[in-house]
Amino acid sequence: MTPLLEAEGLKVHYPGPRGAVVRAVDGVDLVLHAGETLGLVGESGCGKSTLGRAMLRLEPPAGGRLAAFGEDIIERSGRKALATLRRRTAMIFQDPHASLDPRMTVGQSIAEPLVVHKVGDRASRARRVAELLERVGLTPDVADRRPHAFSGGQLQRVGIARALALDPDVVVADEPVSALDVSVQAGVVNLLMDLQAERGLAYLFVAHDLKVVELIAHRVAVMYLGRVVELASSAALFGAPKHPYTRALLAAAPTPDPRRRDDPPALAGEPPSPLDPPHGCAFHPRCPLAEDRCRADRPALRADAAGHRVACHLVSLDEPRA
Amino acid sequence: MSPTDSPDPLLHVDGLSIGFETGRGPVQVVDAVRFAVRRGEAVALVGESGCGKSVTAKSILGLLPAPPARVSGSVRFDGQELVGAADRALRRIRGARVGFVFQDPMTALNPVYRVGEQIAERLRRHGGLDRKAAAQRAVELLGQVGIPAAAERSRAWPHELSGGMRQRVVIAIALACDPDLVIADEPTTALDVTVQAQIMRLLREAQRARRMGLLLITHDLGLVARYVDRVVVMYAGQVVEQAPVEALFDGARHPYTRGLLQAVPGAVAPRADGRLWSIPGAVPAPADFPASCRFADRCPRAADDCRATPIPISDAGERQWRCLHPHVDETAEAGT
Ligand SMILES: Nc1ncnc2c1ncn2[C@@H]1O[C@H](COP(=O)(O)OP(=O)(O)OP(=O)(O)O)[C@@H](O)[C@H]1O
Ligand code: SF4
Ligand code: SF4
Ligand SMILES: [Mg+2]
Repeated sequence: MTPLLEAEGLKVHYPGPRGAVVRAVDGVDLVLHAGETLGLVGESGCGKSTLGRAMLRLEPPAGGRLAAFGEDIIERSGRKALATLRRRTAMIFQDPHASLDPRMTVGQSIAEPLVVHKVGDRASRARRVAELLERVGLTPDVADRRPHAFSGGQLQRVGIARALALDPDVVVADEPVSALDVSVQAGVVNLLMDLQAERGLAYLFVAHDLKVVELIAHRVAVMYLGRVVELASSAALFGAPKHPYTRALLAAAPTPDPRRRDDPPALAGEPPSPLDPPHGCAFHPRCPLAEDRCRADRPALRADAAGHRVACHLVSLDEPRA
Repeated sequence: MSPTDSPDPLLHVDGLSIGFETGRGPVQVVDAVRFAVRRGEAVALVGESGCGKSVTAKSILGLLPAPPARVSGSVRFDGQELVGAADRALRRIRGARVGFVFQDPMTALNPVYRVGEQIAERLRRHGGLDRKAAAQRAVELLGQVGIPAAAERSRAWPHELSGGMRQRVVIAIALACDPDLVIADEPTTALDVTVQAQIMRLLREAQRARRMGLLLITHDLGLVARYVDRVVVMYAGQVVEQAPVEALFDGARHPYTRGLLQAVPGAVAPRADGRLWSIPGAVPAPADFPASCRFADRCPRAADDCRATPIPISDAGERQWRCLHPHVDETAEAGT
């Protein structure tokens, strides 16, 4: 089946200080299939949010190929494909206070995509808003209120309702629960999972909270400095991570278990600046296994028979793990 | 004996209430909070946003501007009453005997001074060192908090350092005068998870090596599990439960604590349908806090009596809870 979104060698560059170039996304291959959740994880500045936006062509690509619903959306001939992309995809953002217009009622915000795409008349849009509000766990009468009257969790539900307005096939969710309290976060994560089960939505789920990703994602891509360093099914990635960076990331996330308290911090140093990425494997300055060839040659992303991909010179893909 | 009753805790907060004057009249955001931190002990103050953790921490050393804040009750630090103490006395304690680490290191650092100078300044003012000794000690401290090439980095400006390095500098300043207590309010929330592990480890090791008290304010139960000895849980401006960390994670008594621990992804097995355990509803706003149980509208165990009167604190040794129908200790009940 054709993937919904497909990137090949995708690059996104930002202008840096003094004419430098920030390679925020530096040659990424990624596909999103119908109905799946693909988690995108990594530390701040690794490019995961940029990649998420770029997959919807909300960032101009500096190189590579990008297709949506089987059609190229970079070439000029892709204008129609781009219109389809806008109608069939949506985004959910980290900070719902910042992503909703404070002057509009939440009902107007939810209806806005319908208005833009000229769907229905005033009455049918109002019905749709009421139905969406109910579906995300709010009462229809809140449609007349403005964002300031809501808590963070409620507002994130409004953001989700808006994203659902056009019944999209793909939702890119950029840290959708990071700003929420734990008890509220759980309800929103459940809502996202229920919506997927109901509507067959595909999520590109960008997050730094590995535990949430483990729960919600079917496949997970780990990014480091603009590149995907590991990509596997959620079970394989969390059960048997192969890349040294993925392992360190998993070890560093504190488990809510007081008996595992003295695990040593797994990784020294901090992610380097994307302005000046290290040669060879970008992870080598922090990698406990680094050897000479890591400093010289950049490892390619290679797949094993089961499709577990990893970019590391020292990971052997063929032998069974010890 | 409960920590608050032990004869000489380092920090003893009792009956601490905090209100704010607002446009619509006064609101009480923290209500009769009571807890203690002993020497050599790391205590977490946990709860969700707005529950009053930060204002509690700030009020301990008079960092809440009053007005609009109104603080009452008692905060004793090493036997000395701080509520209502003179500014000068508070400043002396803040500089030398209590160190602070806040979420955003940039707010704690002065952008126009080199980082080494900022540490040295603290040492000269509160530690009585001369210029040269202070500069030398500043470099040592930077080395101790894990800053490579400390002598060179001591001449850096705050903006030249990464977030993790800046937070290390803030910790060096906090530790400069060998404090008895460090108060850290969400010290790693702004940092990446691999850096967070480094910073928490650093704080915890310093706390143990120097036998300091550490008050860690956080909403992150993963950090709590890994880095503290005892936990104080707040909900809607009140302490609802206190316990040693293992006891709390093994068998929380308050339904809110239970709900919170269950809601953390990865903490317990998800529900049979693969979904997370969540707590329905939301925290009431301070103006709507009921006189009876503040958690009643979200509580699966709520009964009529919960909505009738204020809920007293129950006390059993190291454990306290504010609930009429607490979960009992299943392991103890089972007689194992
Ligand atoms: N200057 C102020 N004026 C009025 N209300 C305030 C003021 N500062 C804090 N509050 C209120 O006091 C309550 C407790 O706030 P506090 O900052 O202590 O929460 P917190 O537990 O630290 O939350 P977070 O996890 O979001 O940091 C909240 O209801 C907050 O809105
Ligand atoms: S390629 Fe080398 S430096 Fe990079 S992750 Fe693998 S072992 Fe470490
Ligand atoms: S007092 Fe009642 S409502 Fe409050 S937490 Fe306990 S059981 Fe629940
Ligand atoms: Mg706070």
